[in-house]
Amino acid sequence: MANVVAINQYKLKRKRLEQTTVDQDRRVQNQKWIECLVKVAKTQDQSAFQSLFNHFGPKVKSFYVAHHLSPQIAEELVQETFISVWRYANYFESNKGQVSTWIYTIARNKKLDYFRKTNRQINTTELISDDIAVEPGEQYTTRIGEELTFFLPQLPDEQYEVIKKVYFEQLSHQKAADTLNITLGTVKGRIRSAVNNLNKLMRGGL
Amino acid sequence: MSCQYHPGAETLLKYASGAIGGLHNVMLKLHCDVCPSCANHVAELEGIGGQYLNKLEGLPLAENAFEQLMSRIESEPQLSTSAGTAAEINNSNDPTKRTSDTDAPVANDYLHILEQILLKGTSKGLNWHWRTKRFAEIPLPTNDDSFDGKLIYFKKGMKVPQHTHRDKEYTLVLSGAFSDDKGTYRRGDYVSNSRLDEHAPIAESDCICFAVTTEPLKFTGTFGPVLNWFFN
Repeated sequence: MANVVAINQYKLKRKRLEQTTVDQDRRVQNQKWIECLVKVAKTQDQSAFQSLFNHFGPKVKSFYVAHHLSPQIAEELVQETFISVWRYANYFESNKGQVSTWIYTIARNKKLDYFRKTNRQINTTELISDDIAVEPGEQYTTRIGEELTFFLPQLPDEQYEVIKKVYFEQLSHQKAADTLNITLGTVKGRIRSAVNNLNKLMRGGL
Repeated sequence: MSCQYHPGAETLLKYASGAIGGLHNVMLKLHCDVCPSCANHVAELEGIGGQYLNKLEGLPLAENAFEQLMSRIESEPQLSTSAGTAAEINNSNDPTKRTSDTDAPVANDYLHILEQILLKGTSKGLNWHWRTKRFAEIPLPTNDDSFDGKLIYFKKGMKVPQHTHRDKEYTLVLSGAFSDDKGTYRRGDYVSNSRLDEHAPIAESDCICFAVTTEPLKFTGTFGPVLNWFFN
């Protein structure tokens, strides 16, 4: 058992080391956006806000269009997203992470809000693993006083990719298979394994 | 005390990626409010969304989009400014934690009431519909036909007749506790039952639950047909 833990830790360290260079670039970029947000929050700096808008605005529009909204609605929701970025810039906690994640969560909530107001059903994709998530025994007991550990770096890359495509990009299983150049069966298998692994990782290690 | 029962990984994935709306979304948000462990898991999963956004090829915006944005910001009343710290502003305004609070929100109307019960333990002034001496409920209208939401009140010792679910039932304990043959569920615990589970919960103390079902529950005991009529 101790060996398994040691191997997992080693794998994790190696993976983190490999990611260091990529992370370095992302950190520098992120730092720049954090500074912009701080300027918006503290001095209502319009040019810092415009930099954020010019960089993230088109991406947010792309996000809405990818989630099956018309370009007109996407444009409107970009406006609403950035009104919130302006108003709530002081909510961003720079120690907690990426500006892109913060903007993503606002954009996601604006989309849900739009769906609710227009009584539109959420596109939930074809989630074969739905039964896994809610079957008896799915609920688990958390370890009290558990230390905060990051579980995503421990997920095999191919499972991470499938999760990203199917849940976050909301691609159908077939489209995810085509994009990743694997079979439909492999996609389904990877989702199943990823969800199983995440359940174990969230409980405190594989 | 921390929560003992949590949503599974797939539910958290769906929640983080915006595939769960309406009352079920409200329920998961409330669970995360009192469960730091799930809140952290969700934050980490949302990071996948941030990475996805980062890598997206942008689509060009209207030429005057920024000017239009600034004029809207200037013409609409400021809700929060740099003058206040996050702590001074009502936390429920945080745009990453809830969907917008403007224009006839349906699900969010209840958010405040549910938060009051869960976070502050106050449930006064609610218009309970008493079904028996020990059981009351308040239907929570939703504009989503596929979900049915209720606030349920059980007095201590109340035993809900054995039942199963036609589809899925999600329950969040807002105050008090109930138990079934699988365990005891306390404030903040998230329980999901599918049509495969048959259970007969009993209230361990006066208990308020927020329940979301995809179909009304179905009683299976001897008096099942009568109770089905009565409870639904």
